[in-house]
Amino acid sequence: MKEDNIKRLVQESELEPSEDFMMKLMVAVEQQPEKGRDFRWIFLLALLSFLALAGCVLALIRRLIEQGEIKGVPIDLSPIAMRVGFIILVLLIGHKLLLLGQKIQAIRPLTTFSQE
Amino acid sequence: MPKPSDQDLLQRIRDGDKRAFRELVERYKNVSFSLACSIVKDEQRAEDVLQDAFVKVFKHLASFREGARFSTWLYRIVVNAAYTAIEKEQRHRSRQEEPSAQFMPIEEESIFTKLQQYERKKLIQAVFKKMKEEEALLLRLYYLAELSVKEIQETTGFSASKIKVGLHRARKSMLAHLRREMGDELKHLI
Repeated sequence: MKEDNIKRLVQESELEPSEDFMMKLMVAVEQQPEKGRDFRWIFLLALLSFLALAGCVLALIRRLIEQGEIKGVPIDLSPIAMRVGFIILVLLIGHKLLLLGQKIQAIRPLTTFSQE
Repeated sequence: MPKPSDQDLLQRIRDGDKRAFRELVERYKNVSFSLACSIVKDEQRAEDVLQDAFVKVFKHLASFREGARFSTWLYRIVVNAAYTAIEKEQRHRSRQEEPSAQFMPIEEESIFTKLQQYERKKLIQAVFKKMKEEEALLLRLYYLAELSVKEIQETTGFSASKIKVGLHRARKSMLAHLRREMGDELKHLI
């Protein structure tokens, strides 16, 4: 038998659920308990940590540029290298934060319908 | 107006749009129901399986990988739910004969009466109910859901060779069943 004929026969075997299936399903979905969790606080915490870290690093760079030492230990780094390093660090962590934000956005609670 | 893509509907569901969920269910319910029937061999149980599957889809929509094909994911959930239902049934069932032999028997009447009583479609559906669950499932995944062998692998967990051999056997089995029911009249059906 030709492949097309088999396909046609199989397609004719398609079944339909009963008419009230959709209604029963929507009731079942509406009755699902609230189970999702909101992880946005993790993102906020990460953002605050990032800002604090950036502030500390910036303060450290300023001190190094002004004094050239930390607790008596001389550190000989050019100001430009330090600034470039700082920018790279900010971009790297900023990118990771962005990815984290997207992940958290994707797993936000989805247990109820808000629109009709 | 063009139909919204699955991805559009999924995004709208994530935003809490009930109508988008209905639309998505409408789009896939018949094929999914047919797949469930292939395994559980009973329409009422298949409907329960389908309901479980769609509730699971709704609950776990967040874990659905963006860019993946929604239908493959859905069919995998339906197939797993159907096999789980069978396992549960087997654990609780007393030693009785297989249910597949109990429903919708094709009566021993003439071909003309059969075709008059059951429409052509019903006859084919009855043949599918008589087929082995794995064979009916593979045929429907391949020809009805139009999945590739690779996608069937993802859906069922079967190996590619098992799917190819299974499809070959399933075609032969379907024809044998049809021939048994219809004899020479089969050529009019195809």
